[in-house]
Amino acid sequence: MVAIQSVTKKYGNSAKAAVENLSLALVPGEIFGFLGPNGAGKSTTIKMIVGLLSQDTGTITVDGLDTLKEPVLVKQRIGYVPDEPLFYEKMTANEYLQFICEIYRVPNEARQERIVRWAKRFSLHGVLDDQISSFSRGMKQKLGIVTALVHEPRLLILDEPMVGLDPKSAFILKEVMHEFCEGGRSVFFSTHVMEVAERLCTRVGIIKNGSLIACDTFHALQGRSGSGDLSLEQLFLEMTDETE
Amino acid sequence: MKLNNIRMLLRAAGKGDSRWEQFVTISFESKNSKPRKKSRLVIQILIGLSILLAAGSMAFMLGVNYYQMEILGSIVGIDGFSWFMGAVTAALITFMFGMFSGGSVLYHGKDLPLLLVLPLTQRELLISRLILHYKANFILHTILFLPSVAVTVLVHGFSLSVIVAALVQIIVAPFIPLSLSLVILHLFVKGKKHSGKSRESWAIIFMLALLVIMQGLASRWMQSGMDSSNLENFAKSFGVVLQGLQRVLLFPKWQMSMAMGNHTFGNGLYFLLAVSAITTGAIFLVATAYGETVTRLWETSTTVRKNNGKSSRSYTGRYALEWALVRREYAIINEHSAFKMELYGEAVIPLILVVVYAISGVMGEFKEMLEPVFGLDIFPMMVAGALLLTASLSMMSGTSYSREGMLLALSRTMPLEGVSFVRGKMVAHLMLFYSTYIIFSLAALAIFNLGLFHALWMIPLGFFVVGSSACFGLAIDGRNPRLDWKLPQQAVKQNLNGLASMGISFGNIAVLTGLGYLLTERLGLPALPSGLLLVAPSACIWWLSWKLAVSGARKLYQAQ
Repeated sequence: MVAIQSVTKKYGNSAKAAVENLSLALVPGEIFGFLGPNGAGKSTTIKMIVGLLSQDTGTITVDGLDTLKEPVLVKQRIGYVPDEPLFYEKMTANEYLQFICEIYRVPNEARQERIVRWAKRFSLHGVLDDQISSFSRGMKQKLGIVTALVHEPRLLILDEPMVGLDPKSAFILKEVMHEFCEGGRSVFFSTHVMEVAERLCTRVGIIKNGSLIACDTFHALQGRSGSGDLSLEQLFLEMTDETE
Repeated sequence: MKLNNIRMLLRAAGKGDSRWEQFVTISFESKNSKPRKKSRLVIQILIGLSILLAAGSMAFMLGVNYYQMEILGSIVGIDGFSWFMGAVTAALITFMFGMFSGGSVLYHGKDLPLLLVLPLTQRELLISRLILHYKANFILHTILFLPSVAVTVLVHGFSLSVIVAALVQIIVAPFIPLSLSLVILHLFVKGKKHSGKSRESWAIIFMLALLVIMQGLASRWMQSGMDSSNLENFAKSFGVVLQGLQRVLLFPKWQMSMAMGNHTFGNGLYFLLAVSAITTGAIFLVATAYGETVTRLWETSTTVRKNNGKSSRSYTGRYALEWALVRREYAIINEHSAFKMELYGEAVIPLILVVVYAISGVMGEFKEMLEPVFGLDIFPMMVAGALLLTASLSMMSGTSYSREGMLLALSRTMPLEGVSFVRGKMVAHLMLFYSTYIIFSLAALAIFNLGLFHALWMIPLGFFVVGSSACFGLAIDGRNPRLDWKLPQQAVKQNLNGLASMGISFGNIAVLTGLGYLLTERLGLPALPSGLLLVAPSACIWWLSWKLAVSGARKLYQAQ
């Protein structure tokens, strides 16, 4: 689904790479958790996959399509929830979702049904005709998630999706992520909430200083550490040396 | 109440609100390299000079009006009538601006949620906000009022009473309109009758209308060469009204009497006592529940509902994608009143001016003035050139990407080619400026009896010229958009991309004007075939500008 091969990215004239020689692959039907301390390179990697940033070296493909050579086709396949939700705030939620449907060429007859279905799922149905500027942070986050889902992408990429969500919405999102993968589609998300990653992810990748230091299932990582009862949080702290 | 706290609050607010800072942060890639520093200084000086020029021309425009008022006053027996009108005009416009800015400063300031949690008393917070409100409007009041002082000095000469009255009134007079705006804002906020945006919109409309009327009057008086015979007729008809106004409007009457040495001390005392009473009353009214009002406003978000809860469906026809992108452009413009004022103003002010000129009779005089050149073959070209200039000198596309600011990142995640965005932006531009150009063209053809057949070339020529100004603007802004603005004004008014695109549009029209001159005056062709021939080069320029805009957009929307 996603193949990242030997990708390196530096910002400007900085000597230090934000992401260095990163390689990983995401298979259809899996939920991949991307973990790492602040400034490790998670958001940079995500922005390269969604086409906001270009890598200096290496290749990234989504469904076999190169992100730099076929950016429009790649974007068409992706639903992206950024860490900071951005909207045209003078539009109503419905106007905005209609706009997104138009941009992603969602068939006319399916639009309203999908908008209402996803809005109901995230309890936004009652505020569809309200201007986005009146939404709280959590409501904007939920609208961002609905926006990413409404065009039925093949790959869902979420950057810190749980931030701002109430417990019920966080629960619904986890359910949705599971259902999303059942049809052979994939989820790639970054988080700092280790419990979520531990329970939700098929595999996790841990990035530190721009380099991938671990990438496997939770149980395989436990096995590799030599202790079968360590939590993902303990493993993470151990690997990233943050307990010192 | 701690004065130190108020001083700190004012200093903190000033950090993010410095007028000069807006010009210092004008777009430069590197702020530290020496050549950049030099060019920054040059640009800042140029911007400073253009601001002075703009303020000077506005002061001159007002001065012309006030001078006519002074003559009018002397005809009906009121000496110092320019002072009276200066005080009225300054108070009216300051009141409107006070309504516009007061809401943001007092109740909707972005820093208020931060300040509300600090250990400050309600009074300290209110007084600091009132001082900011005064500071924000003081300069405007002074610019509007000073020309009347200059006219009084010009007509009646220097005197101690003029100097004292001017000094006192420059400092104290803004309190009257600002207190009034304070009371009305307070009632709006308490009653929650209207949203802040509708209040701002009405203030903008009223203010624009006032400015346009003043401009219309100034043009009319300047065209008649300041001939006093018109004024005598006006005085005969409206002399009683003016005298009545002068009796009823006590504040400007006291202000005028102070300056004209008519019981200076007594009138000054009345004025100061009345201003103190009004200001104290207004502050007292607002202070009663300031803290609670601000807290309530920030606790409850304003929910703006459309369609009464019935979900609307968007247009889904063949051009649905383009239409969606056009609506997006307008959604971005409508995000900030600074964008709306600038861009809608650019499109609509010429239209309002035509109406004002037509009503005030200036259009007829203009027509008479142009009669000697009516017969010239090049005259329709001159009309088209002037109209194209009006339609092309706009910031709409030259700041289009910059206006998106942080939202450009959102656009870049969309599965669209750069060309789609260019198409949407160009259509949005044409809707605002080409449509007004068509209205102007048809009106001009009718007013000057040129024959509607000239529309055959004026309409397509306009399409290509306005279209190429849009594309040149997009090409310039797309190569170096200014996205990191903090104040919306920085994205439009203080964006050099907008100025550069206007310069290129001007050059484009200059080239076509030269060709038009060649065809009609040198080759002796009539206007119709010349105009039709001009469509071809304008189409070529448009094609070139389109290519530039698309290549700029392609680079902008690709991964960086």
